[in-house]
Amino acid sequence: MTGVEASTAATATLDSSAATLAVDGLSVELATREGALSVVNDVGFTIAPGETVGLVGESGCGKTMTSLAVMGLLPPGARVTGSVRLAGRELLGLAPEAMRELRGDELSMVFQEPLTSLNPTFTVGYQIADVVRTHRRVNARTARARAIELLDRVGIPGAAARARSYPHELSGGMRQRAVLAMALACEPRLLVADEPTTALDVTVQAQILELLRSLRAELGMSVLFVTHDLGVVAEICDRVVVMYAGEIVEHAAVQPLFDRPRHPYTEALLRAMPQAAARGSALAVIPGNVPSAGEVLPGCRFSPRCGYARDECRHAPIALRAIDGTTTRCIRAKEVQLSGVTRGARADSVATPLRAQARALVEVRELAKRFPVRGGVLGRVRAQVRAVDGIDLDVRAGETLGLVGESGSGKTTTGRLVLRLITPTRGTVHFDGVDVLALDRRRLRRLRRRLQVIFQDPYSSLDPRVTVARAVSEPLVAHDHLKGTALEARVVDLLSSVGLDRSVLARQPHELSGGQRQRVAIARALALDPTLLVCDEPLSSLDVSTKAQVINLLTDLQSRLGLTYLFISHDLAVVRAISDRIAVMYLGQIVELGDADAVCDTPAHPYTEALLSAIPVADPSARGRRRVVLRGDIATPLAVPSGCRFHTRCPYALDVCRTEEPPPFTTPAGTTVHCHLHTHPTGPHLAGRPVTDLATER
Amino acid sequence: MGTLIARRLLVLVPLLLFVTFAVSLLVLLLPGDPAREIAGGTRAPEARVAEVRHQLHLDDGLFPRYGRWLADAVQGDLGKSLFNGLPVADDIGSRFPITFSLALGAAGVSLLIGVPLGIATAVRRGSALDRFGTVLSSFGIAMPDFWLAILLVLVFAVSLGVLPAIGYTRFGDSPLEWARHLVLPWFTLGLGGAAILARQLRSALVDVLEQDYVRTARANGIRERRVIARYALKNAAAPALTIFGIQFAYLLGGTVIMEQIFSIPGMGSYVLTAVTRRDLPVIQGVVVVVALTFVLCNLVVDVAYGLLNPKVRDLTAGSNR
Amino acid sequence: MSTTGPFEEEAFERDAEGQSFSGDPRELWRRFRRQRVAMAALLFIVLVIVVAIAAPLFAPNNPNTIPTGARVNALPSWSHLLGTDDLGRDILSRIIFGARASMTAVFLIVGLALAVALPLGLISGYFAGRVDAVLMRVMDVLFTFPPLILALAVASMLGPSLVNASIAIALVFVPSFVRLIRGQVLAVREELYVEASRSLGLSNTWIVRRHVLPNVASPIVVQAAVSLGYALLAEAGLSFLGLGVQLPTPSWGNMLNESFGYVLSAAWPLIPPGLVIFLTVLAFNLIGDGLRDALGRERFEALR
Repeated sequence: MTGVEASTAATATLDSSAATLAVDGLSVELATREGALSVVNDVGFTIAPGETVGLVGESGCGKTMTSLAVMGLLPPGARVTGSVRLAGRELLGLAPEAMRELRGDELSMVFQEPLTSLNPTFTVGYQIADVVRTHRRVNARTARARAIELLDRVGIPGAAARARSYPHELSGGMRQRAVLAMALACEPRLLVADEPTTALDVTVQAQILELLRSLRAELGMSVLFVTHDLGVVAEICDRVVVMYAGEIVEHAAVQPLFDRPRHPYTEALLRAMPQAAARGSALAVIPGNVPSAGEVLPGCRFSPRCGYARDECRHAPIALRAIDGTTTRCIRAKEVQLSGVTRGARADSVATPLRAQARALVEVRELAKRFPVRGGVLGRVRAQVRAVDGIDLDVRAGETLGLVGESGSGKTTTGRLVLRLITPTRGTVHFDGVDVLALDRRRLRRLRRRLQVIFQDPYSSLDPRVTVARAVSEPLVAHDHLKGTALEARVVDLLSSVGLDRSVLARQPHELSGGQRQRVAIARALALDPTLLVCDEPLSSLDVSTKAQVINLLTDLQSRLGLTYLFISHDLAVVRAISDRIAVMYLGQIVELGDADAVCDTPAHPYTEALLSAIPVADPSARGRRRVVLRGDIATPLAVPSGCRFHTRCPYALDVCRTEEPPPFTTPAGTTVHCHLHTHPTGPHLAGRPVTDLATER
Repeated sequence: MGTLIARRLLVLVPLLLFVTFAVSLLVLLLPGDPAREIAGGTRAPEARVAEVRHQLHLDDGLFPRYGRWLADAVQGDLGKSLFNGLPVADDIGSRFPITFSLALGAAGVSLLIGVPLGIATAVRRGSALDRFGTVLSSFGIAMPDFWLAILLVLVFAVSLGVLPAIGYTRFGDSPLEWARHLVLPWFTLGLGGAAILARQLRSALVDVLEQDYVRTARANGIRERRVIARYALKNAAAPALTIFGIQFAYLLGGTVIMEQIFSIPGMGSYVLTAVTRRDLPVIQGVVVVVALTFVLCNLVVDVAYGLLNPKVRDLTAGSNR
Repeated sequence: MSTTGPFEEEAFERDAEGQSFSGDPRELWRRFRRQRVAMAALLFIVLVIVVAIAAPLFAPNNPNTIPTGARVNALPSWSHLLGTDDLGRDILSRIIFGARASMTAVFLIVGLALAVALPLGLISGYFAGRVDAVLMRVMDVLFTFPPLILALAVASMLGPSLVNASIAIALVFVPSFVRLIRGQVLAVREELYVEASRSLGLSNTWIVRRHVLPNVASPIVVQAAVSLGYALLAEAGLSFLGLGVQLPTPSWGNMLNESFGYVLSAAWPLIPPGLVIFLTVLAFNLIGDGLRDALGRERFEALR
């Protein structure tokens, strides 16, 4: 029995003594130099046995603090009040030793960063066995056997051998599985998962979510799933608790939440998701910023940003109230017609007139980059990392070409090659007819004006010591030698075009929010009037609503200034929303390239199909949809498989795929694809079959 | 693992060649003319000086001299002292164990005091113990070892009379006396080292305790003592070990002063007198032996590092994500 | 790292100051001022320097004259606040004049070492490649010499004097400075803003001058402050062995050398010089610690 049907009235009627987890009136205060800071305020919810509750919010909302409070892992100096009961037993106020015994045994936690969550100096098997031996009286051999059994259960192939591996020998996905194995070693009642899949590639995320689903069913485990991603929530949670600025603003069963949210913030979050947007239209944005911890607001904390706010919202703190089985902190919930995920809007997606002209601004032919790996006694080259292995690409003037791939795909390296920030091993890059690789230093410098880049992490792409004014004016000073009032005028002009005003001029990066920093980076990139802008994962470190703002800014700038974008990202949802054409990369090669609509609606390559299928759909009723979950991990570009590189994970692999590289093939929709399924006479065809994207299939 | 060691050993040979060559060069540049001094000083007849110079091969060019020296050294012959004609290798042979036992004992003291202090201050960060420990280590780092030696001698030898102020007894003759004579130098050198080690270990451990994998261990209910002693320490040991390796170099050098103060017949005093008298072969021999010792110690440290930190062993690891 | 406000979960446990340091020297000074111990240490050093410069004004007696009929190895009295040494000279005056030698040496050593190490480290770290490899091998060779022995050898080669001893010690410091600077430059070189600068078409000189140098300055400054302490220890050590400042010019180290012969009979003259060395080194170290705290732990990787 899934929780979806059973828990529509769950919030009100659960008896707390029967609940796996009962949180009531939980408040957390942190001790800082400025005094006590309230980060969690009066949070309460329950989790029934076997139920999965999602704790959702953006960064800074207090969801992680809440989960740490449940586990008793808050930092020293934190004050906790309220009640947290695990199967009826009060956890707050327990002696540290008693709490320690429960951790790993009755309740356990997995965290976000799989790469650093395992101790690098011990084998994986040792670390798991250690948890077993801490909570159960077994000898070393039994513990080891259990560790291997667990590794097998979480889907790690060759578990016995893997148990003797060190963490750095495993990929991110496998490490996260190992961490799960540790957490589940003693079959806890409650698993607290804090953004466990956020740092993973989307296909790996799909695998882990699948694993979680099967594990919780098998163990009858309750899960507290903390995340910012509503898509993931729709995939896996039975009920949802939405937090904002340390408080619960809505608490509902999953389907009602998505169908009919009862709080403006929830509605805004749903609308800001890229999956929800119709292609080509602006993404819905939440204006303003999350209030800082010290800010005391009379009345509703969301009111400064709320489109439905009225005077009475701003006077007194709002209490939670129940409406139709949902708990909400909005006094206008009944009056206001809040809309859920806009489904169906995509079925008739208006074909946006092609912004692109036919002229190719950037022409890439046979581009390849190999990195030598040295090892052995004499440091000889032992292997090659084939980061980019022979790609052909055109970026047409005025268009947005989305370059999509997961880790190891070579998309970031491609971006750098196009900009000639690194030199290719072979191949050519032509920009507006000019051979970029043949230029001397002086001419390259001049060309650089027209080719600009925005990086992933706005915090590190700006020199932390440099003010906004200096950062944006630097290219103008260095290239055009602008000075004085002319310089200042131009800088202010650039800042306003990205939506920032003069007040940020004297600030340094650490005084700005993530979204503001990215805008400064964009302003700097625009300073020299570029023609091409390479966007290298510009949104990955931003919140959902900030992402939406930046996306809108980028599309707006493109239409105003006639820019061309090469948009590199692993987030297919975002790429789909803003690209005209999409190129999908896997292990250094482009496997599919075509119009965005064609690629997304009728994918021609199995990998594209899997990628699309892996995107969490923000609609709980879509859970039953057919998914394509890939086997195994992404192969490393160090040891590229023979023949078609994808054959090791491909659900449709033929014999020929193992031996021969597939030639390019153009589908009727105009997509170029490299796959034997299209060209080999005996294979089944993918082309023409619609992919399982629920948003279209309604 | 084997590749790591092989690689290090391979680097050893050219390194040693460089070092010895640099020493020869250095020695050549020393002003003063030992030939003249041996021949009798400023009033010695030129012919005699030239004869001595020729006898001692001091009139050859740099490369022939180095070549000859190298050929001899490989066979164990480090030349003869210019002043007393005794074979350098013999003297070094008898003095080296003394200096080494001095350095080793001091290193032992450093570890015995520094490690517990470092761990205690890291684990109880911010407490009174931590502040006290930090003050103590600040003092230890700032203390000039020659002054500390003097103070310790004043207290233990002069006032209390429990330990001898100077001199050295061979271990074979009387282990007790051997130890009694070395206690003060051991502690003098060791305390400074302990202070630095405590600081470094604390810093490394504090960093490690904030890492995600420690959080994972705690989240899974591993006992705190085990978290610190096993999980954290193994990771903190590696950087601390590197520092300890560097410390050993300072210890080896610090023996010079200790041997002067405590009249211990080790290599330190040997090289000091040689330096004042420009006794080139002695200087060359001692520097080479000490450098070799240091390089080998570094090798041991590197191997230990590899044992502690598996990532280092596998040079082609981690293009996995 | 992206923050939308201090509600962020990790904000409570960052560096000593709760906020990353922006690089502004005035901000640095303000943070440093808040640390009382470090400020006291700074005051002490300033005092020592002032006394050293205006030594004749402060010293009650001439440090070198041997008064006739004076008491030898005397304990402190009103006429000789710190007593007299084995030749009857006033210890206080000798210490005051000794400050000149020691302070000169200390700043000379660190200044020389930095002057050599900074360009080497910058080039090695920024341009990497073959230049870096060669330079690092040379540094490795220098590193294999235990420091005191190298200093001994060089000092004796040049002849014993303050300047020569300083040069010798500076030589010993160069490899570790180079390593530090190189390491910092390498780290900064990998930062995204350097890559962004290159993509903006800025020249290498521009990038080094405006982005690399300011961002490596802080750890270097801290290391320099701490090195002042080590430099003093090294200079005093060499003087103690007779290879630094030559008698009768007083230096704290050679004062200990002189009086050492009387350790069994007249211990008092051994106390003041050692004590003042200890206090001064301690002060330098505390300043270094204060700077390090002011900059925030997160900007520090492997420092000595």
